[in-house]
Amino acid sequence: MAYKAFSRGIFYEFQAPVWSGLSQIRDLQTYWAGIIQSNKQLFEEGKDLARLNAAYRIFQQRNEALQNEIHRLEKVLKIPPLPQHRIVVARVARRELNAWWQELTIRVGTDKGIIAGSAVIYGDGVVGRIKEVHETSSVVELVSSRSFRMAATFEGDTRPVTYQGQFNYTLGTSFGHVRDVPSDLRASEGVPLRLVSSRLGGVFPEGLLIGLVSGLEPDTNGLFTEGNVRLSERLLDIREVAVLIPIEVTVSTSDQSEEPIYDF
Amino acid sequence: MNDNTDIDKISPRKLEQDNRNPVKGFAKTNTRMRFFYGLYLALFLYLACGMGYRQLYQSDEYSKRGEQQSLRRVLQPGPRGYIYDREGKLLVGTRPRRSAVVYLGELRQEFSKAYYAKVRQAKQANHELLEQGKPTLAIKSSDLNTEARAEVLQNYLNIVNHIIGRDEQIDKRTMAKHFSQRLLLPFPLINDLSPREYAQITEQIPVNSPIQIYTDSARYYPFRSAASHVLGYVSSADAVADEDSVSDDLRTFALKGQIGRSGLEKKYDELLSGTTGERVWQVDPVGYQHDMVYEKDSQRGQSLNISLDIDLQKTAENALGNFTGAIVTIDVESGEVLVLASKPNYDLNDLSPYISNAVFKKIEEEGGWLNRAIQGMYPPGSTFKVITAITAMHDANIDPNTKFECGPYYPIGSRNFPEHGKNSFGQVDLTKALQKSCNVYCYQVSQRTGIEPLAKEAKRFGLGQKTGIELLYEGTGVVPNPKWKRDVLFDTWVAGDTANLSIGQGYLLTTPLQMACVTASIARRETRTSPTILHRARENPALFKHGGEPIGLTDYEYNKLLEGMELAAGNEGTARRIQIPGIRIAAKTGSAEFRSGNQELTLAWTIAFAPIKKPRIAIAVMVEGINPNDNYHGGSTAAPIARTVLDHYFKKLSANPVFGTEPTGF
Repeated sequence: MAYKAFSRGIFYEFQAPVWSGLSQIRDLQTYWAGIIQSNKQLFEEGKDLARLNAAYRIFQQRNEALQNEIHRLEKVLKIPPLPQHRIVVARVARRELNAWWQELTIRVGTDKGIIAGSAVIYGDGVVGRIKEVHETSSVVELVSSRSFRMAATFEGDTRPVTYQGQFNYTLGTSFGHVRDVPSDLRASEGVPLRLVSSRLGGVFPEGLLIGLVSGLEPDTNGLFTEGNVRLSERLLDIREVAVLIPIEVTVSTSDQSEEPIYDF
Repeated sequence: MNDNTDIDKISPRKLEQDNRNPVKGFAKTNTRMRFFYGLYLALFLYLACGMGYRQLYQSDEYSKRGEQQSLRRVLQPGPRGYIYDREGKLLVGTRPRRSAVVYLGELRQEFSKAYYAKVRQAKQANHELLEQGKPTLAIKSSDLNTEARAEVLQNYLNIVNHIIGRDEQIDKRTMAKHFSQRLLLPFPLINDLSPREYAQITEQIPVNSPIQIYTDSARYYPFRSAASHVLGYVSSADAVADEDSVSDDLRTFALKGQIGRSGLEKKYDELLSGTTGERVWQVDPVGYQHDMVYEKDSQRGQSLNISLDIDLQKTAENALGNFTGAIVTIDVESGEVLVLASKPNYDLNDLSPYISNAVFKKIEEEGGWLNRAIQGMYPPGSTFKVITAITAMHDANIDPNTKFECGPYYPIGSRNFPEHGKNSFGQVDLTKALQKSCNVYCYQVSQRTGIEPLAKEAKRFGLGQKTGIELLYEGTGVVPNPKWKRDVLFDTWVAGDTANLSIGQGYLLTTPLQMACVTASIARRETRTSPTILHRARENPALFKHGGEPIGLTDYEYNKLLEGMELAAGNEGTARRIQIPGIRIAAKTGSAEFRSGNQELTLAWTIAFAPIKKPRIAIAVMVEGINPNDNYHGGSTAAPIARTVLDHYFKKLSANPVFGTEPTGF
């Protein structure tokens, strides 16, 4: 067993630079594709980019203000602080999407302190979880993969449910499956329910979108309902993700609690 | 010498011939062998026929038996149905009860590995002892097997412990019992996980791990102790296969379900119980599961809509506070019970999924198990005077205006029967008798009517009989008469007994539900009310027949009765603390004495209905003294409680016409 694992590791470490190199070349391609555009067009896009950056700076400032307010209220109300994460942004080097497993390879590994099991997210919500970590790359198990499972909640509801990926074809929209849903929740095509991550599981922060549920049916033992979760179509086309690495926080005696602190 | 001579006589040639053919004496032609040939043939034929019989004729039976040996059935109980109040508010639901379990079939190889490792260790230890010249230890295979299993399971439990931050240990006795009796069922590592623990295990245990989350249901009571006696509780019981089960003859493992133990949970157990699901598994010779060959899903039981109004019920229970007692309110028209409160009560969530000894003992000590509203039997005290008044008019033709001189006592035989508070009310007619709750008036009426008309009238209103409400263990009550006293107490009836009965004392016993029904019946001008705890059981209440007869009073007499009860709720009446501005209420209070053990205790009663013009609600409140220092009275103790409940009812009625029909005739 150890021999097999060692061989596999060695093989992977040889493969990884190739994938990483290809990914770098693709980035270079994109860069040169931009460079060869006319000056006027570049100027216009630069202006758009500056506007976007300015808008994002404002959002960032707002977030910081809100964050400070949250910290203040936590102190005043003596609420245990949320867990903290360090964010590592990573480019996607390779996608492996098939019916058996759905994985991404990203261009960060132990060199950036990536830890197996960490949450991986992007702008539209949950991407997956770090499955394997190598020197300069890591494998992310996508949320659509059959062996991916996480605790979730429906937006506006606190009761935990179980989300699991399911058999997905390579092309087209990916689906997952949600079960253990309390039977008083209703979902329809017109009013789908938003399934979001739950911090109860200890891996993901709260409220990140997983997908939409358009219908729920009673499960086999009649206790709960279950249904399919439509995942974001952008999931198959992600170029950049953020890895959330839990930070061990030392808190003062008065602030000690079971839960660590989030710090976005 | 002679022997040697005989041997010498045998010819050597003959000996040679005999040596060449030693069985010559048993040649085929030997007739003695024929018997054995025949025997062999018969035995062979018997064997061949037996084999043919079993292979050809009995093959189906043996195939079936083989299947039975290799198949196991697992029964999964269906979740119980819900119970709602009359407005659709959930009174009893189910909550998921999640456990971290391992499926033992998936750990077979690990168990064997651990077992052989244990055997090797034991042999090694013995070898070392032997080398040291010490006596070796006996290796007991079953002990090693148990140790190995416990070790494997503890490893998995440690994984769960690490994730959720617990420090649980495998109980070897429980484990051994599970292996011997429930091998096919998942082995519970940790029961009743909190939502956080459930989420942590879901997220951090791999999908293909032998550790899984198993979910069953436990009863959940959102209103906690409200209506606890009516709703009842459940206890765990093995799931029972449905009648249409296809695999009754298989060895069966039943998961724990729930069975109603009291209240509606017991009464409607069949309705609320879900349909049992079943799975048939092919197993290996040891009993571990292999493949599922048949599956049938369980289904939730039906739901029940009951007549209680949970808001009113809570108001009633709050109004009772720490008193011991009961309140019953009835919708006058339909007979639907809106409130059925009994105190002390208990938090039903403390009884789910099981009743701990401490909880049981606490409820027992408080006397909380008794549903006083339907099981408690008490003398009704002066509330019975309405029946005495009806008897006076209906059976003794006493005009309501007839006045009796009522002093501080009334002599019957050698005994003076007292007025309450040693009052002297002077000239008293029927309305004043009801207003002031005059004992002496009733004594004199009873001496005119005699016992039989009084007892007959009480029975005509349903006293001394079960009301027929859909709840178990309802009390009957007692309406005494001379025959009853002779049969039960072996004593003769005296005039004093009749006098006592006329004021609701003596041997007369009623339940609060019976008194509420009497009140509702009087409000409808009938003699019977058939109460129901089910909502919408009576689609058209106006057309529903309660099974009684008209009260049998003239309009004038009936109005005098109502006038007396209204005056009782007036400023000068005993029930004045029941008053609600704008609502005309007919009421009657009662204060009774009863003996419990060696103690003389008091009871406070109030019965009422309202509005007088078009009655909608009838109520009976009973507060029970629990020690001799409790000096309770109907007017001061029970009437304010009744007022709180009626006030809530009419406020809700005004605010929400859907709650009932339009309020009229206040």
